[in-house]
Amino acid sequence: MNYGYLAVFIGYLVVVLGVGVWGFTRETYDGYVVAERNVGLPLSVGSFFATYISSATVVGFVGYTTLNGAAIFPTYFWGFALGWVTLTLVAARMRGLGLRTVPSLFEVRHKSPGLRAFSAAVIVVAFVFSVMTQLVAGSIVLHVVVGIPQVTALVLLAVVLTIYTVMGGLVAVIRTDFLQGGLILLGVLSAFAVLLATVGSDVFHVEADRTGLFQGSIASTTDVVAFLLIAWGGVAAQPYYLHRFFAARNASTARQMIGVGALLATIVYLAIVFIGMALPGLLPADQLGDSAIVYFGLSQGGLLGSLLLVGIVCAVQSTVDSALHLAGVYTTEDILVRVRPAMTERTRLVLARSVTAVLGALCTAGAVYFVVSGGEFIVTLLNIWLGTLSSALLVPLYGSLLWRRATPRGAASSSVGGFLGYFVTLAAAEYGGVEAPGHPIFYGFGISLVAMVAVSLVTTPVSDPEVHRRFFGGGGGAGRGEVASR
Amino acid sequence: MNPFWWAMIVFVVIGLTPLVLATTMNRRQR
Repeated sequence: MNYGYLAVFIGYLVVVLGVGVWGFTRETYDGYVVAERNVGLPLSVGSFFATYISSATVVGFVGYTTLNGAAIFPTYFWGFALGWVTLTLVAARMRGLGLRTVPSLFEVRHKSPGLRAFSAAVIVVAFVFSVMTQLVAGSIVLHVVVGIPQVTALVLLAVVLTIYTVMGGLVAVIRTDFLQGGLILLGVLSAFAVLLATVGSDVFHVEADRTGLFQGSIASTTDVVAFLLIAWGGVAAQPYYLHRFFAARNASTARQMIGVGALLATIVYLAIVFIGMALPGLLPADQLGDSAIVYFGLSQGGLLGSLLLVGIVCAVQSTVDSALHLAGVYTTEDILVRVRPAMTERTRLVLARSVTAVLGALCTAGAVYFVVSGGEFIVTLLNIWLGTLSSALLVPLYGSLLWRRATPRGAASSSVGGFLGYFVTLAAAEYGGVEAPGHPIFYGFGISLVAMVAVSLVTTPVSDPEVHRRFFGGGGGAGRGEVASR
Repeated sequence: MNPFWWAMIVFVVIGLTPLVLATTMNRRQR
């Protein structure tokens, strides 16, 4: 066991727990759910950036680049960047709606509590899987670097983040994110700096056999389109980025949160690409792939090892706390409270905390089970999860937000149809051995898009002038955002 | 120039677009 790394890890855990306790002392339900809608630019940027950079980014994308070189761009980075552009464009509009949850948009827009509950359920299930995969990924790193048993590492990671999320809600999540974002940036950039010091300007020399875009998951132009769609939709429809718009202090903050956040993410991705391109020259072939960055940190030891370890732990926790928080809040606000709408804010707060705690325990147990039973599923589940959002949420959400003619039935059939289209095709390929031509995402996204347009055109939209004013303006004038945010 | 650098330039251009967009839109709003 490495006691130095263990001390660094424990020290970090104590600090984030402190933030949770601090948040607990000042919590209202609005604070727990949307951080009082009063988050300024630095905290917003830190929170978006830290949530954005997951363990898949730091561990998975370095690993993917060590194996597949330039293919990382069409597989992930181009689509993600298009997702940032989309988020910037809808930031002010989303914030102006003054919602508490992403699924509530469907009830406000279409008077459809059913679609609200369905989309909340899809989001919660997707988040539960994402929390489990991230916890497993983080525990592998801790096990290898610190030398503690993987299950112990997993439980430590999970229990600490569940405690500060349950205690402090979004107020605590955003503040821990800010700290974690700084540490992620520090970890990745120092790894790049050490690499630069080790190999000099050779870090910018790319081997000719690794410059092709058609490697790894990308075999054809069709694959490029499929992965662009998955990555773009997975970012643009990602509830925990959209939810941060509700918490932003004003419209400019909501937009610039993505602007500056995207700049930081671009820098981190560039560092990751160069690290991933250079590591095959430094490490033996059997250490490439998902474990490459960990082995690189271990081979350097000392300060870089600690920084990378903390950076990876931060990447895991900052994404998982956001997913867990939203799973708890959306289960409460979009599903449970609908059964008893008269519930007071006080009771909702207690309920949201309890649900978050139960989901945290459930995810921990599930993740431990995967570790013990030895499943290999991290990248597969990441793709399934991103694909779910592109199929079941992207079109109904953006269609309802931007298209006046969108109808309740159009949005509902788009969401359910997209979900089924993606999962049936995926399951048939995975378990039935029936390969449909193209990629499952084409069926999910395609059905979702066609259903949205076709069904909307033959059914009638909600004819409430208040809804139209809230979504598409018309009342005009300066005070519009103020009225809507109530 | 090989495909790697082209792919990277495309990525950087799209990646910095949000900052330009947000700054422009915020300035116009004021």
